[in-house]
Amino acid sequence: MIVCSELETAIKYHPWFVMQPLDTEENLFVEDFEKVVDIRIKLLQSQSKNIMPSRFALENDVFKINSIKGNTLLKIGVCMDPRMSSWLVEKEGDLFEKYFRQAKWNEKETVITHLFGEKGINWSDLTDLKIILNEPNFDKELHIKQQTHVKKYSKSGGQTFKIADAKGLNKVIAIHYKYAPYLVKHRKVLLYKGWALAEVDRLVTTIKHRYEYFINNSLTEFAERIETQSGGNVKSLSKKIHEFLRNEITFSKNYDLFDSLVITGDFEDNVSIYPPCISDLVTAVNNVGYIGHWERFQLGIFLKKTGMDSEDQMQFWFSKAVDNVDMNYKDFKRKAGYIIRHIYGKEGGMIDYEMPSCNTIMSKMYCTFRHKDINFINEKVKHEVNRFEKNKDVKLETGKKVVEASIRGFPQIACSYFLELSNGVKADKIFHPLMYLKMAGQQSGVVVDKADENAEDEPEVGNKKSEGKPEDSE
Amino acid sequence: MDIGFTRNKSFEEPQHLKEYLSTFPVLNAYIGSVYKDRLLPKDRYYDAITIHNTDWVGRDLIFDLDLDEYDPVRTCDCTGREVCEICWAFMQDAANIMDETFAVDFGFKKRVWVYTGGRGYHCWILDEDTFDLDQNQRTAIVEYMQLIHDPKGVQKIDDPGDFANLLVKRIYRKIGRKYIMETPIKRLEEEAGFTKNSIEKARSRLKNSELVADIVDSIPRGKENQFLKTVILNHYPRIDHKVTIDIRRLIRMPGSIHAGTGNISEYVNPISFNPAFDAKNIYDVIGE
Repeated sequence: MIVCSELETAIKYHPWFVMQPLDTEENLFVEDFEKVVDIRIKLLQSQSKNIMPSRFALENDVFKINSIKGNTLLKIGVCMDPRMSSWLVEKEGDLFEKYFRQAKWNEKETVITHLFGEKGINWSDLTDLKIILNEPNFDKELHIKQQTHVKKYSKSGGQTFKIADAKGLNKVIAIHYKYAPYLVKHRKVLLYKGWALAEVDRLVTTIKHRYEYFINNSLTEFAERIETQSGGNVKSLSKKIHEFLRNEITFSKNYDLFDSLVITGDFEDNVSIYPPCISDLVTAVNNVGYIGHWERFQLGIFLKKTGMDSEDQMQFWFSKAVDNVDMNYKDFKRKAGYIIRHIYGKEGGMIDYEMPSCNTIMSKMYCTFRHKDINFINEKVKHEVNRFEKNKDVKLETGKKVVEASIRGFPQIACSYFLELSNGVKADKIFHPLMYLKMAGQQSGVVVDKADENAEDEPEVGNKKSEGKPEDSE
Repeated sequence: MDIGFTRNKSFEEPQHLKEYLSTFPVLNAYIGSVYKDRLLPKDRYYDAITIHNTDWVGRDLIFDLDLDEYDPVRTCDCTGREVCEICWAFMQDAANIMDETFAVDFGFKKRVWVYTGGRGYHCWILDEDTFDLDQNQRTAIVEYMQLIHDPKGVQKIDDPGDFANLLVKRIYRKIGRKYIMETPIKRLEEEAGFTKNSIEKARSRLKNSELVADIVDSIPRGKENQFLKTVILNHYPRIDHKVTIDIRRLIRMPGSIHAGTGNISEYVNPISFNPAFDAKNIYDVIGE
């Protein structure tokens, strides 16, 4: 949890910045949590209609406190659900961006300090940067212009009205290059002595990503707490909120195309047709006996979607996990089996979870070509190439494409090349792990799509809208 | 002599490494990342501790330049591993641009250049805060500088963009002027749209000037983009990005021997060093 010593002061200036813990958890257990959560959801959803509370409303104390509570309660409610978590991160990030853009400079400054640390270490304004670098004129030499005072006017009925008159809206700030990899990689920012310099408005997406990073950390912390507790207040609260949210938030169902896949044979006999993320997780579980929370969720849902029932899956984890030492099967089923029952809709919000798409996986879970280093990917490709005796040259070329796409930051394209390498099937881009499974498995006859057998027309694969933003935008 | 590859040797102190190498002299020595635990082989009681089951702590930020990446643009007869005093100029120019980019754009203070003993340089950035950079951050750094993609194949040139002014000016100063002054006239005409007349004027102007404004003014009107692309294609650094991005990569240990050439991998001034004249060979040092 983020703790900022200036937050009490901060909250007076920017009620929209909700990142702070409440004093005690008792504050969370409000009987009318539904009302608080509902207010927050309406605010998150109102952005799309451009209906936002006025500045006056924002500074109402009750509104401020409820914003923070609502944000915290939402995080507790969605932390066990990857799709809802992604939704929350995206919506909170968008709301943050909206408010941030409109905020006065002193508010922005406090928020940036909270997100990046003290001024002068990971971020700075132009004035301080001159002192840090001991170069009082570097801005002139680099032709950096700073608008200190922005006025905006509108004309209507022959008259001119001033609609904005603010200082510091377009202040130039510097963020340490480590925190702006996208901007640095694509040379979208002036880089000087390790500082990425731009008007604060042009750095909003970088700042927003930092905010989203902390939200994600917070979600993971809550999830791990809930997972390791056998009972407790936060766990029961999470269930209640999640149940409430199921009726409040709707998602478009993009991937029911894959609901009718059936795998023939045993799960561990068919690892070669599984998407690389899943085969890596299976390997990790076999070798190490432990994977992280979201990775367990990812593998668990995949096991479910490929026909494993909850009892079989319980046995799978019990036989392989290392954190069940001295635990008999009955104890394991009771304690650690929570997450497995949750996946099958037998705990928590009783939801029958769908396999998340690649977009959700890349942002929250494990994607081979996003999260693994090049050495690992090279070894994986080499292993695949060596499986084949014929057409080695072609395989080598495809293997190079896998590595190149990974290096250049296109994991879904890298995955499609890997599909081609390992199973001889071509696709432009992989959107969903079950898409990979279907294409690889149907080739070998291991996977059967009941929908294909029953339907007159073949459903299109790989043409559905993805859940998140394009991967090559910041 | 035993020939083999001994892997996963880890040392807690520099002195231990020194003692090991003194006891077990090696043909080639490579070093990798720092891990949380000491790497150990499997024994009767414990599983092996390998790089895959212990936490990665960090690795130096390293850049690799190899002359064979310049095969498509070398003008001498060298290819592949061959090196001569003529084509080594590519390495010197590349190091010149990269070193200034590291210092000015990224603010790296501790930069050490190493002749690999073979056909190129490594640059080690030893600033403390670069040690634990993740793969995404390392990719960002190398991609910032990488203007030539697929250097041995398609050789696609990236547009530096509107914000890389420092980088572009550096290209003009460090290789643009040299390109105008030293490239044969026929090539300048074919590649960069110069005429005999404009070459003469340009060379006269730039004889006593290294100003970016003068260099840019020397380029035939309307040919500025073509000039920049040509200069980048022919002289800009071709960095092996895998070496920088891979956080577990092994790299030749400075001070060790390059078994293929017998040359010693040593710290050098990359702009003035030329292996044709300056490389130290182990057989010269110990006497054949």
